[in-house]
Amino acid sequence: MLKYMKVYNTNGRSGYLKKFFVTAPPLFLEAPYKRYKLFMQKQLYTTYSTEMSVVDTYKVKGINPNKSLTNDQLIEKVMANPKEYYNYKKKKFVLEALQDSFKLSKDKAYNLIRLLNFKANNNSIPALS
Amino acid sequence: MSTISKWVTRRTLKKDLDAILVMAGARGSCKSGSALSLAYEIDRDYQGNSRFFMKPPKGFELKKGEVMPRVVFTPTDFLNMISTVNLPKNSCIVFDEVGVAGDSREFMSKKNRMLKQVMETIRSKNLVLLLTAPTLASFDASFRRSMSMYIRCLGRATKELILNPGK
Repeated sequence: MLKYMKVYNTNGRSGYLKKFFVTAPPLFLEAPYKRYKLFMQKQLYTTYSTEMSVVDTYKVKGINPNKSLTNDQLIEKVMANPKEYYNYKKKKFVLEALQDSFKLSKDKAYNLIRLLNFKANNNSIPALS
Repeated sequence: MSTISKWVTRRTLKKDLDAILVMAGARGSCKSGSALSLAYEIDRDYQGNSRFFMKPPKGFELKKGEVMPRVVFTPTDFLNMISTVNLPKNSCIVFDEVGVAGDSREFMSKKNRMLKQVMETIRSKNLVLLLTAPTLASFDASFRRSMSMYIRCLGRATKELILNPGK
């Protein structure tokens, strides 16, 4: 609830102060104040811009560069170093290893692993033999 | 002396209280200007000379004939002013843009909590604090609770200045 300030005039009659006027500050105070404000604004904006440059990156988790690759392109990537994804005891490629390293969905990883295991069974991957 | 400054000085010098005045209003409604002129009017020594000055901060230079008004923009400046400078009773400090320093959206940050504790315990120093912000909601609610007067600024009233801004 708003409460106005109670004031008395010269006759002793009371009233409420609802509006008053303030004169402008003297120039020798106002001029340095304005410059100081600009100085502080510059400091504030520069600190914020440096902070924002760290936060404001467009590397969102959902955007995956491997998502748009075809199976052939992914197989080429696996062929570069197939031993990392291959289990020699079971003689099969490991699903989790492929999924984690290329950040693939489960369906896409299953498709890829089927092709890779087929190639491995036919001895068409020379690096494994 | 205006009624406001009389009220403030009576509060600080006779009643042993402090005065936290909040100047709120839209952008360009002369919040800072009126805070400066009010502080310049209130902050006087026993001879009537103004003492609303401070040392210029680092990296800031004054021109000839100018004096640095006691204006702070950051919480560190404000706390330094209170703790290091020995301010007499009825001294004014203008805490400009308190919505930036004590933002209401950072209500549980360490900065806001410290400022709130300072505001609650500052009475014994008998200072006059003038806070400027666009609205009452733009700064922390705890400062709002400790304020003693709210002044709504409505802008310039003189026609001459609006017609001839160069004057």
